[in-house]
Amino acid sequence: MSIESNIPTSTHLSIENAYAGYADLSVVNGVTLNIQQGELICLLGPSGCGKSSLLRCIAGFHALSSGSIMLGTKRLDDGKSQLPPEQRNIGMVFQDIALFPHLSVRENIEFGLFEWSSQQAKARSEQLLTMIGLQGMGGRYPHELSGGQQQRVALARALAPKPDLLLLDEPFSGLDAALRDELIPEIAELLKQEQITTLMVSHDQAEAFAFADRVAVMNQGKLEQISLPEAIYYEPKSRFVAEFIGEGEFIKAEYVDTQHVNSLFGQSRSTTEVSEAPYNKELFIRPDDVEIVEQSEVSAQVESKRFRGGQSLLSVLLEDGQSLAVTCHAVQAPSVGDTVYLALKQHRFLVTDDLGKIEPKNEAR
Amino acid sequence: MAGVGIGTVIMGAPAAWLAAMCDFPGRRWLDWGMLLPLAMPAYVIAYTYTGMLDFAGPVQTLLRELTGWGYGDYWFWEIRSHSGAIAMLVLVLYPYVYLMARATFLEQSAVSFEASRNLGYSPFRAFLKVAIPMARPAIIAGVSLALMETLADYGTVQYFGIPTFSTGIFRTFYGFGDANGAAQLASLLLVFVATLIFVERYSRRKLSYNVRAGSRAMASRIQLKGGRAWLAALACFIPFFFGFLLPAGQLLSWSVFDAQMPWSDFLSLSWNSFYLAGLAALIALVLATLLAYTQRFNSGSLVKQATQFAALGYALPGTIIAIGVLAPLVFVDQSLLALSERFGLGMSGLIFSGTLFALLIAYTVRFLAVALGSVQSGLGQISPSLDEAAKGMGRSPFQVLRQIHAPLMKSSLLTALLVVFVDVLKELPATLMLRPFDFNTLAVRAFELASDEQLIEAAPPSLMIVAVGLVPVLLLNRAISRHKH
Repeated sequence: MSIESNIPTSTHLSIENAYAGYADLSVVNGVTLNIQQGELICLLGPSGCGKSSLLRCIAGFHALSSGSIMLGTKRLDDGKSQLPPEQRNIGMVFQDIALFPHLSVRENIEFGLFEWSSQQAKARSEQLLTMIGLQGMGGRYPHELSGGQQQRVALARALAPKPDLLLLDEPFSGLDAALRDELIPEIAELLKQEQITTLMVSHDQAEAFAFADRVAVMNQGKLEQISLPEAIYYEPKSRFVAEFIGEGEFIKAEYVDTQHVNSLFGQSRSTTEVSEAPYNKELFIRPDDVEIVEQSEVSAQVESKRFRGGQSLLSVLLEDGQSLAVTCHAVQAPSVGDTVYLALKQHRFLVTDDLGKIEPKNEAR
Repeated sequence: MAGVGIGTVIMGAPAAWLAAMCDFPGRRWLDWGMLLPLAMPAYVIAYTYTGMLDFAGPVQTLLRELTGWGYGDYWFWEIRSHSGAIAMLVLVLYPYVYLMARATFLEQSAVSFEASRNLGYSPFRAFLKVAIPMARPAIIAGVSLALMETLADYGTVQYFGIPTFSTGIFRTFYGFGDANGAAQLASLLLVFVATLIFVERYSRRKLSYNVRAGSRAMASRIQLKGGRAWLAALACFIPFFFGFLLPAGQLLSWSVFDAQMPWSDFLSLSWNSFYLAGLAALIALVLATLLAYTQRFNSGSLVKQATQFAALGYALPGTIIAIGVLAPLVFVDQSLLALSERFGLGMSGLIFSGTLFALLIAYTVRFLAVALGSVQSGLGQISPSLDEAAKGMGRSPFQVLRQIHAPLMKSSLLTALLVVFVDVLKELPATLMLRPFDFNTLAVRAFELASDEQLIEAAPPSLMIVAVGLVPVLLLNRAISRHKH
């Protein structure tokens, strides 16, 4: 059974087959993405994968070359004409925060409320200041605040005009790790309470997992996989996702049928359909998919050991020369040079074609 | 003064925005060309335009020929007026505003501009509500600099016969021989200068909050097309044309075709100027280096304040410095003469006050700040841990200086030398007041000739000043564009 289930169904932001680029370089290559009302989504990918460009297209700072973006019933971009950014009612928090340095905290928050009466605007900024825990600090200027406080003000400023969608462009990348761990769940909870549909861009998987309901992994302008965080980790659908998220190694496998392959661990089920193409197959195994057992048919020699607090990460050499990463309890960890016996803890894995090798080879990876 | 302030903003700020945020034909070289008027001393541009625009000048002559009017038949703008002086000063001083404003527009507006679009602001509204207010401290700082130069200006206002502090001080001193009166006027002027220094420093401090590290550059410039693009190019071309191209061209044509100054005169003027400027630049460089190192090795606040105080001279008008240098030196001279008479040493004449010594002191006071700024920024880039690393490898302090600092500091020391050199070359009022009898420099001679209505003869020395003055402007531009990458 798949981890995925129970996804809400009212589509709020809908991106259809979107393409965008600069001059002769295409950076968004046919992205289709639907986000539900009130969902927190993280676009995760390495730098240069097109995630920020996609975000800028949604905000209206960059035009699609083809495809469409709809927000509710509002057409933002159809590849030909674009709604100007100021008419989209989308809130955005920028990577470098971009608070207006010449305005106080309250003036920053009320900046987007120029069509409101001053009483209403004041009530709204008070409400937001309370929400972000900065009551009574509305008169300060951005340079008088700490990094985390500035980030919260930026969020409040984006939320003030009650946007239909909130975009976060690597909002935590400028903060130190401790502050980030504190701020991310806090902000996620706040957005959930307010039921604000949010799309965040990040290159940090820990950040994405801690923040998002669903994670969309992007590579070379394409979406590789959109799933719950757990599914992204345990059931990657492509070689890129497997390698980009967490750790793991590929071992050789053979085709059995479209659901199964054989490896030196015996038969395993595949998360995706196995193609019949005449390539060698590979099986993706994460360090915590493997356990050390008393006795099994797979033996290996411990090559190196790294203590990671509570767990040790071992690199082991299998009998046929392939290597594998294994985690085990630090206290029970074998020594370098020891022989260990291995078994798999579960039986669903990503299987891919080993595109580099059409002929079977026996040399070590 | 108000006129100059407003004029520099009108000429400098929109051009800066266009050059920083938009793209239009010729932007790259106009961006560069708009800095060139910095090389043009105000008095030179003043008499060049006078030569072109007065009754006997080519413009009015052409007008009369075309229309058949005679003298008194028509109205023409009198350049020797308040408005003329303002126009001249604006033409050479707007680059201060342009430079400061362009830098801030480049650094900060991109993200803020997007943020305000995102919050519902149209592009024009975002420009008015965000870009301009955020650049305000930069514009004010630029205007303060321009106004300091205006207060310090002597040549233009004297030539146009407009009574200002500088001309007043000069006249009181020479015309009425009233040193005390001149000193009183100078003190009053100092109050104005101090106000401007305060405003400028305050704006800069505010600016440092506004410019945040790590801001991203504008993703794409606003692409202007068709008529708008040509309008933008024109808006940037006008300051460059009237501030540099036209007057420089006129000077060149006068020098080449009309001037009859003998080569020997020209060479001796140039030699006097270069010799004096070189000497002053060396003195300023040595002092600046000493000060910068003292500050590096002593972090006490007294040293810091003393250094800052020494750097204030740049804000002081040359006339004030001249009076300030002259008064004590005359006293020393008189005392020395009295002593010499008493002991029969046979000294005579002016020992300090009428010699190059006085002039060099004045230059050092006025231009030390320029040299100091350059040396300090060079030294600031040498991290103290470099010193420590070298010392850790067994080098003596002197070896550190020679092997580490000297090669790294070379270019900033050269810049300091060059900038002081050029500033001294252009300096007019202090030179006029302090120079030894019959000692002429390019600037003094050009001004004297122009004052005697021999505009054409004044062209060759002026052109020399402008040409040499271009060097630091080009250096500045190179430093800026390197900074951008």
